[in-house]
Amino acid sequence: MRDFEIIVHGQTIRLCVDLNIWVRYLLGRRAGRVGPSAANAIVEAVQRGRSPAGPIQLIVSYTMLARLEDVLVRLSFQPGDASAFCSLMGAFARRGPSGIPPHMVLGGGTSPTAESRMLTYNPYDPKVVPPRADDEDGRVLDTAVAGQAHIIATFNFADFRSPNSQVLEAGRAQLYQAAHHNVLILHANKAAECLASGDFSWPIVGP
Amino acid sequence: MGRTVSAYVTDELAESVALEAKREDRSPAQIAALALRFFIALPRDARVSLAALESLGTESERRLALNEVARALNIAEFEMTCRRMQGHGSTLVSDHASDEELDEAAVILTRSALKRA
Repeated sequence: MRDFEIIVHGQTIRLCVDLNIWVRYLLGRRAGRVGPSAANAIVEAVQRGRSPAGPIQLIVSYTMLARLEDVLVRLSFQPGDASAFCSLMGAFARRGPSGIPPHMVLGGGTSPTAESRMLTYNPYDPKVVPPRADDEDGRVLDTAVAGQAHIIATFNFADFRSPNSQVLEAGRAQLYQAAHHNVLILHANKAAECLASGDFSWPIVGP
Repeated sequence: MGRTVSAYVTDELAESVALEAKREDRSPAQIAALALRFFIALPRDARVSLAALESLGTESERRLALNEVARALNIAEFEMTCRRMQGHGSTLVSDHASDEELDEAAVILTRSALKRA
């Protein structure tokens, strides 16, 4: 057994943060949880543009920002605050060590995840309508691939399972393999641990 | 009562001020007053560093320093925004929820809000 390292220590880490982490951050603040938590650690790393593991560059898209703004308004936050919150996320991306503004990802939704995969149905039965694909994860995944992110951090780890991903650590780490780019999908708790320790290596089993 | 303070600037800077003033629906004098307030509010040692950067720094050093200033302002506004948001969304989750329950609630609330979108 040997280890393989996905991110070299000290290099700029391109981090794509799933929408549920921002929501969790706000829920935690509302509940008065100012102490250490995975969401707080990730948001703070994005704000500061650095972590103990190295410089942090936020990778985000206009689609993600627009969706998050929608989500926040639907969760009863004031539209003006939701808009300012998302606009500042874009600013953090621009202020990052590589100065990458939000991406404009066209098309997308091409990466099926556990949630978006269509169920088996009978095409000859007109009563059965194929379920609408849930593209929540797809948009995050598309942004991460388009923006060549090293990591997606999410609380919704299970929904990113797909035939193109290889589990590195059950429930905590998987490697999504696209045609030209691989993305490490980490549960938020694992992402916070990795950002704190700088250890992004996993054992490879086999020859 | 206010006073007038005049300053000599290059044509290029004057044009930038006029353009930004127009964009923000203010007068060039208001922009100049805002810039002066910001400059004077800086600690003296920061003003000295700024002067040193202006005269001795490279373009990339100046850009990096301004980026950090901009980031600090962004963080301050983010903090203010989050503080305001703490008072809303009051019925989302119980105040006594554990960290794990908050993690789970964040996933469920995000997913359901997206489905309604």
